[in-house]
Amino acid sequence: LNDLDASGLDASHRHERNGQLATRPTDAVFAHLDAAYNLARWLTGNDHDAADVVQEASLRALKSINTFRGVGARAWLLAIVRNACFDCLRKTKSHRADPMDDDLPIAADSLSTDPDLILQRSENVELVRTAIDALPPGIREAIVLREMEGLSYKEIAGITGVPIGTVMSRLARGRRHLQELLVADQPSPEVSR
Amino acid sequence: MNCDDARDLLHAYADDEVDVATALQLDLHLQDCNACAREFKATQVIKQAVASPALYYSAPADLRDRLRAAVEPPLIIRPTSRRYWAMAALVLLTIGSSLIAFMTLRNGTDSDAREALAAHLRSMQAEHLLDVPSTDQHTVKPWFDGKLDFAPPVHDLASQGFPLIGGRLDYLHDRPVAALIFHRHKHVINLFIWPGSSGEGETTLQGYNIIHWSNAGMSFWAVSDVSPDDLRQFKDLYRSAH
Repeated sequence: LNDLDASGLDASHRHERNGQLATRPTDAVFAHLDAAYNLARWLTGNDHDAADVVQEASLRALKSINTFRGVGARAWLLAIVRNACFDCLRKTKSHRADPMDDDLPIAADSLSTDPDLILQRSENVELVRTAIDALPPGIREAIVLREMEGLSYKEIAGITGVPIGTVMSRLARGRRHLQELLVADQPSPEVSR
Repeated sequence: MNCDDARDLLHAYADDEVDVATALQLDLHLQDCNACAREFKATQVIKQAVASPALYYSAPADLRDRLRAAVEPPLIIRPTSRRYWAMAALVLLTIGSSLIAFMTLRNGTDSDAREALAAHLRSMQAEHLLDVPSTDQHTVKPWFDGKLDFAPPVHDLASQGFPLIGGRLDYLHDRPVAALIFHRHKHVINLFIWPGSSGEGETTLQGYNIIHWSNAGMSFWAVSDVSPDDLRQFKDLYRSAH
Protein backbone atom coordinates (compact mmCIF):
# COMPACT_ATOMS: atom_id res chain seq x y z
CA LEU A 1 0.00 0.00 0.00
CA ASN A 2 1.15 3.51 -0.70
CA ASP A 3 1.84 5.68 2.24
CA LEU A 4 -1.45 7.46 2.75
CA ASP A 5 0.37 10.17 4.66
CA ALA A 6 2.04 11.19 1.41
CA SER A 7 1.74 14.91 0.94
CA GLY A 8 -0.35 14.24 -2.13
CA LEU A 9 -3.38 13.52 -0.03
CA ASP A 10 -3.05 16.44 2.32
CA ALA A 11 -4.58 18.99 -0.02
CA SER A 12 -7.71 16.96 -0.40
CA HIS A 13 -7.89 16.49 3.35
CA ARG A 14 -7.82 20.20 3.92
CA HIS A 15 -10.31 20.79 1.18
CA GLU A 16 -12.77 18.22 2.41
CA ARG A 17 -12.36 19.29 5.99
CA ASN A 18 -13.51 22.74 5.01
CA GLY A 19 -16.14 21.59 2.60
CA GLN A 20 -17.88 18.61 4.11
CA LEU A 21 -18.28 16.49 7.17
CA ALA A 22 -16.19 13.43 7.70
CA THR A 23 -17.90 10.24 6.63
CA ARG A 24 -17.88 6.71 7.97
CA PRO A 25 -15.78 4.14 6.11
CA THR A 26 -18.83 2.20 4.89
CA ASP A 27 -20.49 5.35 3.59
CA ALA A 28 -17.25 6.36 1.90
CA VAL A 29 -16.94 3.04 0.12
CA PHE A 30 -20.47 3.21 -1.25
CA ALA A 31 -20.20 6.90 -2.12
CA HIS A 32 -17.08 6.25 -4.21
CA LEU A 33 -17.90 2.81 -5.55
CA ASP A 34 -18.38 4.10 -9.10
CA ALA A 35 -14.97 5.79 -9.00
CA ALA A 36 -13.42 2.59 -7.65
CA TYR A 37 -15.04 0.43 -10.31
CA ASN A 38 -14.20 2.79 -13.15
CA LEU A 39 -10.53 2.82 -12.17
CA ALA A 40 -10.45 -0.95 -11.73
CA ARG A 41 -12.20 -1.52 -15.04
CA TRP A 42 -9.68 0.63 -16.91
CA LEU A 43 -6.72 -0.98 -15.14
CA THR A 44 -7.78 -4.62 -15.43
CA GLY A 45 -9.43 -4.28 -18.82
CA ASN A 46 -12.41 -6.50 -18.10
CA ASP A 47 -15.65 -6.48 -16.09
CA HIS A 48 -15.08 -9.70 -14.21
CA ASP A 49 -11.70 -8.87 -12.70
CA ALA A 50 -12.79 -5.29 -12.02
CA ALA A 51 -15.82 -6.41 -9.97
CA ASP A 52 -13.78 -9.02 -8.07
CA VAL A 53 -10.98 -6.62 -7.27
CA VAL A 54 -13.32 -3.84 -6.14
CA GLN A 55 -15.33 -6.15 -3.90
CA GLU A 56 -12.25 -7.67 -2.30
CA ALA A 57 -10.44 -4.35 -1.94
CA SER A 58 -13.50 -2.61 -0.47
CA LEU A 59 -13.95 -5.28 2.18
CA ARG A 60 -10.25 -5.18 2.95
CA ALA A 61 -10.43 -1.40 3.16
CA LEU A 62 -13.26 -1.60 5.69
CA LYS A 63 -11.27 -4.00 7.84
CA SER A 64 -8.27 -1.71 7.92
CA ILE A 65 -10.12 1.39 9.02
CA ASN A 66 -7.03 2.53 10.90
CA THR A 67 -5.87 3.94 7.56
CA PHE A 68 -9.15 5.82 7.21
CA ARG A 69 -9.58 9.36 8.48
CA GLY A 70 -13.03 10.17 7.29
CA VAL A 71 -11.68 12.78 4.92
CA GLY A 72 -9.92 12.33 1.62
CA ALA A 73 -12.15 9.30 1.35
CA ARG A 74 -12.12 8.93 -2.41
CA ALA A 75 -8.33 9.06 -2.65
CA TRP A 76 -8.11 6.58 0.25
CA LEU A 77 -10.36 4.08 -1.50
CA LEU A 78 -8.82 4.60 -4.94
CA ALA A 79 -5.31 4.00 -3.59
CA ILE A 80 -6.40 0.68 -2.10
CA VAL A 81 -8.30 -0.39 -5.22
CA ARG A 82 -5.48 0.67 -7.51
CA ASN A 83 -2.92 -1.41 -5.61
CA ALA A 84 -5.28 -4.39 -5.55
CA CYS A 85 -5.65 -4.10 -9.33
CA PHE A 86 -1.91 -4.31 -9.94
CA ASP A 87 -1.62 -7.22 -7.48
CA CYS A 88 -4.32 -9.05 -9.42
CA LEU A 89 -2.70 -8.27 -12.78
CA ARG A 90 0.70 -9.46 -11.55
CA LYS A 91 -0.82 -12.76 -10.45
CA THR A 92 -2.17 -13.41 -13.93
CA LYS A 93 1.12 -12.20 -15.46
CA SER A 94 -0.81 -9.69 -17.49
CA HIS A 95 1.02 -7.33 -19.82
CA ARG A 96 -0.89 -4.54 -18.06
CA ALA A 97 0.69 -5.38 -14.69
CA ASP A 98 3.51 -2.85 -14.42
CA PRO A 99 2.37 0.47 -12.94
CA MET A 100 5.75 2.02 -13.70
CA ASP A 101 5.39 1.30 -17.40
CA ASP A 102 4.95 4.69 -19.05
CA ASP A 103 6.97 4.20 -22.22
CA LEU A 104 5.58 5.84 -25.30
CA PRO A 105 7.14 6.46 -28.66
CA ILE A 106 8.25 10.06 -28.97
CA ALA A 107 5.57 11.98 -30.79
CA ALA A 108 6.41 12.86 -34.33
CA ASP A 109 7.00 16.53 -35.01
CA SER A 110 4.55 16.27 -37.83
CA LEU A 111 1.80 15.37 -35.35
CA SER A 112 -1.43 16.90 -36.46
CA THR A 113 -2.75 19.31 -33.91
CA ASP A 114 -5.79 20.25 -35.95
CA PRO A 115 -8.40 20.60 -33.19
CA ASP A 116 -11.26 20.17 -35.64
CA LEU A 117 -9.95 16.87 -36.98
CA ILE A 118 -9.31 15.58 -33.43
CA LEU A 119 -12.78 16.66 -32.39
CA GLN A 120 -14.32 14.87 -35.35
CA ARG A 121 -12.42 11.65 -34.63
CA SER A 122 -13.12 11.82 -30.91
CA GLU A 123 -16.83 11.64 -31.57
CA ASN A 124 -16.23 7.96 -32.25
CA VAL A 125 -16.39 6.74 -28.64
CA GLU A 126 -15.08 3.26 -29.46
CA LEU A 127 -12.03 4.75 -31.15
CA VAL A 128 -11.28 6.79 -28.02
CA ARG A 129 -11.89 3.76 -25.81
CA THR A 130 -9.45 1.64 -27.80
CA ALA A 131 -6.87 4.41 -27.76
CA ILE A 132 -7.03 4.83 -23.96
CA ASP A 133 -6.91 1.08 -23.52
CA ALA A 134 -3.72 0.91 -25.57
CA LEU A 135 -1.86 3.33 -23.27
CA PRO A 136 0.82 1.91 -20.96
CA PRO A 137 -0.60 1.26 -17.45
CA GLY A 138 1.25 4.12 -15.72
CA ILE A 139 -0.08 6.62 -18.20
CA ARG A 140 -3.55 5.12 -18.41
CA GLU A 141 -4.13 5.41 -14.67
CA ALA A 142 -2.99 9.04 -14.60
CA ILE A 143 -5.35 9.87 -17.48
CA VAL A 144 -8.30 8.08 -15.85
CA LEU A 145 -7.73 9.70 -12.44
CA ARG A 146 -7.34 13.15 -13.98
CA GLU A 147 -9.96 13.27 -16.73
CA MET A 148 -12.60 10.95 -15.34
CA GLU A 149 -12.25 11.67 -11.62
CA GLY A 150 -10.92 15.23 -11.83
CA LEU A 151 -8.28 14.56 -9.17
CA SER A 152 -5.46 17.07 -8.65
CA TYR A 153 -1.86 16.29 -9.59
CA LYS A 154 -1.09 16.02 -5.88
CA GLU A 155 -3.84 13.50 -5.28
CA ILE A 156 -2.79 11.44 -8.30
CA ALA A 157 0.82 11.52 -7.10
CA GLY A 158 -0.35 10.31 -3.66
CA ILE A 159 -2.41 7.47 -5.10
CA THR A 160 0.08 6.26 -7.69
CA GLY A 161 3.21 6.81 -5.61
CA VAL A 162 5.15 8.91 -8.11
CA PRO A 163 6.34 12.55 -7.93
CA ILE A 164 4.03 15.30 -9.15
CA GLY A 165 6.41 16.05 -12.02
CA THR A 166 5.98 12.49 -13.25
CA VAL A 167 2.19 12.87 -13.12
CA MET A 168 2.46 16.05 -15.18
CA SER A 169 4.71 14.44 -17.78
CA ARG A 170 2.60 11.29 -18.01
CA LEU A 171 -0.53 13.32 -18.66
CA ALA A 172 1.15 15.46 -21.31
CA ARG A 173 2.68 12.50 -23.12
CA GLY A 174 -0.48 10.44 -22.77
CA ARG A 175 -2.66 13.11 -24.32
CA ARG A 176 -0.25 13.71 -27.19
CA HIS A 177 -0.23 9.99 -27.86
CA LEU A 178 -4.04 9.79 -27.78
CA GLN A 179 -4.10 12.69 -30.22
CA GLU A 180 -1.73 10.77 -32.46
CA LEU A 181 -3.76 7.56 -32.27
CA LEU A 182 -6.95 9.40 -33.12
CA VAL A 183 -5.64 11.16 -36.19
CA ALA A 184 -3.36 8.37 -37.49
CA ASP A 185 -4.43 5.87 -40.12
CA GLN A 186 -8.09 6.51 -39.66
CA PRO A 187 -10.07 7.05 -42.79
CA SER A 188 -11.99 10.23 -42.21
CA PRO A 189 -15.73 10.01 -42.93
CA GLU A 190 -15.29 12.04 -46.13
CA VAL A 191 -12.70 9.62 -47.53
CA SER A 192 -14.53 6.44 -46.62
CA ARG A 193 -17.77 7.60 -48.20
CA MET B 1 7.64 33.05 -22.75
CA ASN B 2 8.82 31.04 -25.74
CA CYS B 3 7.15 28.08 -27.48
CA ASP B 4 9.28 25.43 -25.75
CA ASP B 5 8.35 26.73 -22.30
CA ALA B 6 4.73 27.07 -23.33
CA ARG B 7 4.48 23.51 -24.65
CA ASP B 8 5.91 22.16 -21.40
CA LEU B 9 3.27 23.99 -19.40
CA LEU B 10 0.22 23.70 -21.69
CA HIS B 11 -1.10 20.54 -20.10
CA ALA B 12 -0.71 21.77 -16.55
CA TYR B 13 -2.41 24.98 -17.67
CA ALA B 14 -5.30 23.02 -19.19
CA ASP B 15 -5.55 21.18 -15.86
CA ASP B 16 -5.61 24.41 -13.89
CA GLU B 17 -2.41 23.37 -12.12
CA VAL B 18 -0.18 26.41 -12.76
CA ASP B 19 0.14 29.48 -10.55
CA VAL B 20 -1.50 32.76 -11.49
CA ALA B 21 1.68 34.42 -12.77
CA THR B 22 2.45 31.50 -15.11
CA ALA B 23 -1.16 31.40 -16.26
CA LEU B 24 -0.97 35.08 -17.21
CA GLN B 25 2.25 34.59 -19.17
CA LEU B 26 0.77 31.58 -20.98
CA ASP B 27 -2.37 33.53 -21.80
CA LEU B 28 -0.26 36.21 -23.43
CA HIS B 29 1.76 33.66 -25.38
CA LEU B 30 -1.33 31.85 -26.63
CA GLN B 31 -2.74 35.12 -27.93
CA ASP B 32 0.41 35.66 -29.99
CA CYS B 33 1.32 32.15 -31.11
CA ASN B 34 -0.99 30.27 -33.44
CA ALA B 35 0.83 26.93 -33.23
CA CYS B 36 0.71 26.85 -29.42
CA ALA B 37 -2.90 28.04 -29.42
CA ARG B 38 -3.81 25.15 -31.74
CA GLU B 39 -2.01 22.66 -29.54
CA PHE B 40 -3.79 24.04 -26.50
CA LYS B 41 -7.14 23.68 -28.26
CA ALA B 42 -6.26 20.11 -29.27
CA THR B 43 -5.39 19.33 -25.65
CA GLN B 44 -8.75 20.60 -24.50
CA VAL B 45 -10.53 18.51 -27.13
CA ILE B 46 -8.70 15.37 -25.99
CA LYS B 47 -9.46 16.11 -22.34
CA GLN B 48 -13.12 16.49 -23.17
CA ALA B 49 -13.18 13.32 -25.26
CA VAL B 50 -11.67 11.21 -22.47
CA ALA B 51 -14.05 12.72 -19.91
CA SER B 52 -17.07 11.61 -21.95
CA PRO B 53 -19.67 9.90 -19.72
CA ALA B 54 -19.87 7.16 -22.39
CA LEU B 55 -16.38 6.04 -21.35
CA TYR B 56 -17.12 5.89 -17.63
CA TYR B 57 -17.73 2.44 -16.15
CA SER B 58 -20.19 2.79 -13.28
CA ALA B 59 -20.27 0.06 -10.66
CA PRO B 60 -22.74 -2.68 -11.68
CA ALA B 61 -25.83 -2.96 -9.47
CA ASP B 62 -25.03 -6.55 -8.47
CA LEU B 63 -21.58 -5.55 -7.21
CA ARG B 64 -23.20 -2.83 -5.09
CA ASP B 65 -25.77 -5.34 -3.77
CA ARG B 66 -23.16 -8.01 -3.01
CA LEU B 67 -21.04 -5.52 -1.14
CA ARG B 68 -23.96 -4.14 0.81
CA ALA B 69 -25.00 -7.64 1.82
CA ALA B 70 -21.43 -8.33 2.96
CA VAL B 71 -21.07 -5.24 5.12
CA GLU B 72 -24.59 -4.50 6.26
CA PRO B 73 -26.83 -7.40 7.20
CA PRO B 74 -30.37 -6.17 6.54
CA LEU B 75 -31.48 -3.43 8.92
CA ILE B 76 -29.11 -4.38 11.71
CA ILE B 77 -26.28 -1.91 11.90
CA ARG B 78 -23.17 -3.68 13.02
CA PRO B 79 -19.75 -2.41 13.84
CA THR B 80 -17.19 -3.62 11.36
CA SER B 81 -14.40 -4.57 13.69
CA ARG B 82 -13.38 -5.02 17.26
CA ARG B 83 -11.35 -1.86 17.10
CA TYR B 84 -14.50 -0.03 16.02
CA TRP B 85 -16.35 -1.45 19.02
CA ALA B 86 -13.61 -0.36 21.36
CA MET B 87 -13.72 3.16 19.95
CA ALA B 88 -17.50 3.27 20.13
CA ALA B 89 -17.43 2.06 23.72
CA LEU B 90 -14.92 4.72 24.67
CA VAL B 91 -16.94 7.48 23.03
CA LEU B 92 -20.07 6.16 24.69
CA LEU B 93 -18.44 6.07 28.10
CA THR B 94 -17.12 9.60 27.75
CA ILE B 95 -20.37 11.06 26.47
CA GLY B 96 -22.48 8.96 28.82
CA SER B 97 -20.57 9.82 31.97
CA SER B 98 -20.40 13.53 31.24
CA LEU B 99 -24.08 13.65 30.39
CA ILE B 100 -25.04 11.72 33.49
CA ALA B 101 -22.92 14.03 35.65
CA PHE B 102 -24.63 16.99 34.03
CA MET B 103 -28.08 15.48 34.30
CA THR B 104 -27.90 14.81 37.99
CA LEU B 105 -27.82 18.57 38.48
CA ARG B 106 -31.12 18.92 36.66
CA ASN B 107 -34.60 17.81 37.31
CA GLY B 108 -38.10 17.70 35.85
CA THR B 109 -38.77 18.14 32.14
CA ASP B 110 -35.30 19.38 31.43
CA SER B 111 -33.80 16.22 32.80
CA ASP B 112 -36.26 14.17 30.74
CA ALA B 113 -35.05 15.96 27.64
CA ARG B 114 -31.42 15.33 28.56
CA GLU B 115 -32.09 11.68 29.31
CA ALA B 116 -33.86 11.30 25.99
CA LEU B 117 -30.99 13.00 24.17
CA ALA B 118 -28.42 10.87 25.97
CA ALA B 119 -30.33 7.74 24.96
CA HIS B 120 -30.54 8.98 21.37
CA LEU B 121 -26.80 9.65 21.25
CA ARG B 122 -26.10 6.29 22.87
CA SER B 123 -28.14 4.56 20.22
CA MET B 124 -26.21 6.34 17.47
CA GLN B 125 -22.73 6.11 18.99
CA ALA B 126 -22.73 2.50 20.03
CA GLU B 127 -24.47 1.56 16.80
CA HIS B 128 -26.94 -0.35 18.89
CA LEU B 129 -29.95 1.18 17.29
CA LEU B 130 -32.28 -1.76 16.94
CA ASP B 131 -33.22 -4.77 19.03
CA VAL B 132 -36.06 -5.68 16.73
CA PRO B 133 -35.46 -4.57 13.16
CA SER B 134 -38.79 -4.51 11.44
CA THR B 135 -40.88 -2.12 9.42
CA ASP B 136 -44.01 -3.93 10.55
CA GLN B 137 -45.77 -2.39 13.55
CA HIS B 138 -47.44 -5.76 14.20
CA THR B 139 -44.01 -7.29 14.71
CA VAL B 140 -42.54 -4.48 16.75
CA LYS B 141 -45.44 -4.03 19.17
CA PRO B 142 -45.63 -7.68 20.39
CA TRP B 143 -41.84 -7.74 20.75
CA PHE B 144 -42.18 -5.43 23.75
CA ASP B 145 -44.55 -7.88 25.48
CA GLY B 146 -42.95 -9.19 28.64
CA LYS B 147 -40.10 -6.69 28.41
CA LEU B 148 -42.15 -3.73 29.58
CA ASP B 149 -44.95 -3.34 32.10
CA PHE B 150 -46.90 -1.26 29.60
CA ALA B 151 -47.94 -1.57 25.96
CA PRO B 152 -46.51 1.27 23.85
CA PRO B 153 -48.63 2.37 20.88
CA VAL B 154 -46.66 1.50 17.72
CA HIS B 155 -47.51 3.08 14.37
CA ASP B 156 -45.68 2.96 11.07
CA LEU B 157 -45.71 6.31 9.25
CA ALA B 158 -43.97 5.12 6.07
CA SER B 159 -46.69 6.47 3.79
CA GLN B 160 -46.25 9.89 5.36
CA GLY B 161 -42.47 9.87 4.95
CA PHE B 162 -41.45 8.55 8.37
CA PRO B 163 -40.90 4.81 7.93
CA LEU B 164 -40.66 2.71 11.09
CA ILE B 165 -37.44 0.72 11.00
CA GLY B 166 -37.60 -1.07 14.33
CA GLY B 167 -37.68 -1.00 18.10
CA ARG B 168 -35.31 -1.16 21.01
CA LEU B 169 -35.52 -1.55 24.76
CA ASP B 170 -33.89 1.40 26.47
CA TYR B 171 -33.50 2.75 29.99
CA LEU B 172 -34.39 6.28 31.01
CA HIS B 173 -34.46 7.39 34.64
CA ASP B 174 -33.55 3.84 35.59
CA ARG B 175 -36.68 2.37 34.15
CA PRO B 176 -37.21 0.41 30.96
CA VAL B 177 -38.85 2.41 28.18
CA ALA B 178 -39.86 1.64 24.62
CA ALA B 179 -37.71 3.19 21.89
CA LEU B 180 -39.11 3.23 18.37
CA ILE B 181 -36.83 4.13 15.53
CA PHE B 182 -38.00 5.98 12.44
CA HIS B 183 -36.20 7.27 9.41
CA ARG B 184 -36.66 10.68 7.89
CA HIS B 185 -34.69 10.68 4.65
CA LYS B 186 -31.33 9.50 5.96
CA HIS B 187 -31.83 10.77 9.49
CA VAL B 188 -32.81 8.77 12.52
CA ILE B 189 -35.65 9.68 14.87
CA ASN B 190 -35.78 7.97 18.26
CA LEU B 191 -39.24 8.00 19.85
CA PHE B 192 -39.19 7.10 23.54
CA ILE B 193 -42.43 6.08 25.19
CA TRP B 194 -43.19 5.46 28.85
CA PRO B 195 -46.26 5.72 31.06
CA GLY B 196 -46.95 9.09 32.61
CA SER B 197 -47.60 12.62 31.60
CA SER B 198 -45.03 15.32 31.07
CA GLY B 199 -47.12 17.87 29.21
CA GLU B 200 -46.02 19.25 25.89
CA GLY B 201 -43.04 21.17 24.66
CA GLU B 202 -40.02 21.32 22.49
CA THR B 203 -36.40 22.20 22.98
CA THR B 204 -33.03 22.09 21.29
CA LEU B 205 -30.02 20.57 23.01
CA GLN B 206 -26.55 20.32 21.45
CA GLY B 207 -28.03 20.79 18.01
CA TYR B 208 -30.64 18.07 18.41
CA ASN B 209 -34.33 18.80 18.37
CA ILE B 210 -36.44 17.26 21.09
CA ILE B 211 -40.19 17.39 21.16
CA HIS B 212 -42.49 15.81 23.71
CA TRP B 213 -46.17 15.30 24.26
CA SER B 214 -48.57 13.17 26.26
CA ASN B 215 -51.42 11.07 25.08
CA ALA B 216 -53.67 8.46 26.71
CA GLY B 217 -51.51 8.16 29.83
CA MET B 218 -48.24 7.88 27.91
CA SER B 219 -45.36 10.28 27.63
CA PHE B 220 -43.75 10.59 24.17
CA TRP B 221 -40.27 12.01 23.52
CA ALA B 222 -38.97 12.33 19.96
CA VAL B 223 -35.27 13.13 19.46
CA SER B 224 -33.54 13.72 16.14
CA ASP B 225 -31.29 15.93 14.07
CA VAL B 226 -34.10 16.52 11.55
CA SER B 227 -35.51 20.06 11.35
CA PRO B 228 -37.96 21.26 14.00
CA ASP B 229 -40.67 21.41 11.30
CA ASP B 230 -40.14 17.79 10.33
CA LEU B 231 -40.19 16.74 13.96
CA ARG B 232 -43.42 18.69 14.59
CA GLN B 233 -44.99 17.03 11.58
CA PHE B 234 -43.87 13.69 12.95
CA LYS B 235 -45.49 14.48 16.29
CA ASP B 236 -48.80 15.50 14.70
CA LEU B 237 -48.85 12.38 12.52
CA TYR B 238 -47.99 10.06 15.38
CA ARG B 239 -50.60 11.62 17.63
CA SER B 240 -53.39 11.15 15.14
CA ALA B 241 -52.27 7.70 13.95
CA HIS B 242 -54.45 4.76 14.79
